[in-house]
Amino acid sequence: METPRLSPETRRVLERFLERPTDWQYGYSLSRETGLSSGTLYPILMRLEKHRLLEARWVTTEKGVPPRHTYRLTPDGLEFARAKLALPRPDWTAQQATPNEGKA
Amino acid sequence: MTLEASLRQSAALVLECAIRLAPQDTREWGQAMRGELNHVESPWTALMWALGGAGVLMKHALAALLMPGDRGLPLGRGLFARNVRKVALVVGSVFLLATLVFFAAPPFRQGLRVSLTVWNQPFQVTPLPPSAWNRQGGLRALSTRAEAQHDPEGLVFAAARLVDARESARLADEAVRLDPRLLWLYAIVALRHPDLAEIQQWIPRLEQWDPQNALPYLITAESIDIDRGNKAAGLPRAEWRRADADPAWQSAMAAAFAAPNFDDYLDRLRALDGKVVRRYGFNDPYAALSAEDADLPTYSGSDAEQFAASVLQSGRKVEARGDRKTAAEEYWRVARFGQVLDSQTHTVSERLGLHLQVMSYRQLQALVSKEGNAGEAAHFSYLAAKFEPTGAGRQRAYDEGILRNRILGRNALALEISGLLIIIFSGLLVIAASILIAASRRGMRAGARPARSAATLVAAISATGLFLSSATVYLTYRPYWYIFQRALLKGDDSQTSELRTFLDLAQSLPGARITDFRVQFWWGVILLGIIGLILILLRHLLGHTRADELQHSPHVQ
Repeated sequence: METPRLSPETRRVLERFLERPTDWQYGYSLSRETGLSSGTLYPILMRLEKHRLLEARWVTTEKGVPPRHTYRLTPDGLEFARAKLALPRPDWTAQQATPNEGKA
Repeated sequence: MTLEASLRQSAALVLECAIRLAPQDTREWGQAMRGELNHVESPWTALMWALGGAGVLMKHALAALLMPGDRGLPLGRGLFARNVRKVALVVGSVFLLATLVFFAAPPFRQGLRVSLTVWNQPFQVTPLPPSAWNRQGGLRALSTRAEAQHDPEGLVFAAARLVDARESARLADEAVRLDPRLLWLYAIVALRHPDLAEIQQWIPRLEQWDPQNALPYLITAESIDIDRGNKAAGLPRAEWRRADADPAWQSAMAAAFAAPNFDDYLDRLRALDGKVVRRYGFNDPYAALSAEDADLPTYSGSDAEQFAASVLQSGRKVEARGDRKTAAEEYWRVARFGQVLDSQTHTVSERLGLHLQVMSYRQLQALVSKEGNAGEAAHFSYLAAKFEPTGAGRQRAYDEGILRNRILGRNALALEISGLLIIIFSGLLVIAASILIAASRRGMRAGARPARSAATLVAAISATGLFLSSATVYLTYRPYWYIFQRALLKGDDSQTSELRTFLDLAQSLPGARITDFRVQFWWGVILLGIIGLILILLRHLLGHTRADELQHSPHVQ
């Protein structure tokens, strides 16, 4: 099966899902926890859902307020995330995390 | 409504608009983002959330537009998939070719030239006045060719339009030497450059060649006026302009008023224009229409009005002495000259002719009333009223003029902006093409791939923009090109004043015509909004390009 790309942003999203694998999570909560904007987060969620690694459902929280979309990883998604996140982070992500490293 | 509520409402509006534009299969995701909006605490964050979400939806809308039949577009590849890049390049090339077709159309070439006139002026470095009416490059080239080919008609065309008085006189002499039937050119050049010393030699030849014409006498009177003005430098204008103080001036004006006809030779000039424009492919509307300035100048108008007033005054004096017959003759002198001028349909002479007639008919009306001839008095009253615009008529003409100028101003603005966009899109296209050529070389670094993807997108958008801007230039300018063709090739000047106004408006910067602060403010807001949206979209797209390239990096997989 073709799998989605694993950008640093995607890793961050998968890490959040793995922390509470059975919980349904809201888009805005994910955005706050990962620090990703809606413009970055949603393409990742759409990609994961496209590859059937993520499932989504609508929930109504209160009357008169539009329903919310919630997400969690499918069994395939959990397996994929665990397999991918077990790999060491590539060098460039470490460089990105500490941009001043090695300049001294 | 509070600021917070407005921001939240704007955020919801942005997302809802984006959802409407989004392809069917991504609308649910749009609804998902919209659903979260109510749970975002800060209104500013809500707005940013909405803008980010709208960006995602617009990206998919654009992808659907580029590949309408392919809704199986892999979400992970989006706009930067190889096949999408190919489609973008094909679409861009088609639009670029379509734009090149516009260049084959003469109205487009002329319209583009006019549209860029306004942007030339802020960078003007030549010492000439910064007006396109004085654009001389094309005229000088034409006169050089005409001289080399011994073409008197080409020389007439240039001499009647050049700003340089000396060169204009030299070309006129050369044209008349080659073809003595073109002697009337001296009058055209004399009207355009009334302080030329050569006029003293030209006038006797003109008087001999066309003795019935009032024009040479008016030119003589004007030369005397200018000479007097030069000698009286520093004195108040009203003092040296006392016409009755100079018998030579009086004599010239009396001869003009006695002349049986008036011909400013503009019709002869226009008859030649068509041939010369065709022969030399001359298509600069500013330079070509600058000969309209050769219409009877306003100073001749004031001379004629001044002399007419003195003739009427003399008639009133004679009338006061009881000599009504001589008085009537004096009044009729003015009326006849007005009728002679009126026979020319050129704007200034026609208006002046009507004005002189009104002045004299009023006097004649008063004269015959005193004689008890009510029928004739009513006739003169009718004639005066007929030629004198009423208050309502003036107001209507003024309102029509305002409306006409507003429409012409909008068209000129559309043309200027389209011309500017053509330059911007051409620049972007050249930059994008350079990046694509550089990126197509072997051994390209992986890091250059995002630039190639972005360059493809920029090239496609620029080619589309170039096509749309070119279409706007073509469609906006086409009616004016037809007016230009009719004026120059067929001598039909019924709409030339409209074209001249349009060309005048197209010379001024867009902002200079907008005086209403509110309009400027909202234009600024719209412009900043567009820039902001473009920046957000670029950031979003380039961010994904980078992630896409990292995905293909061997370190990641």
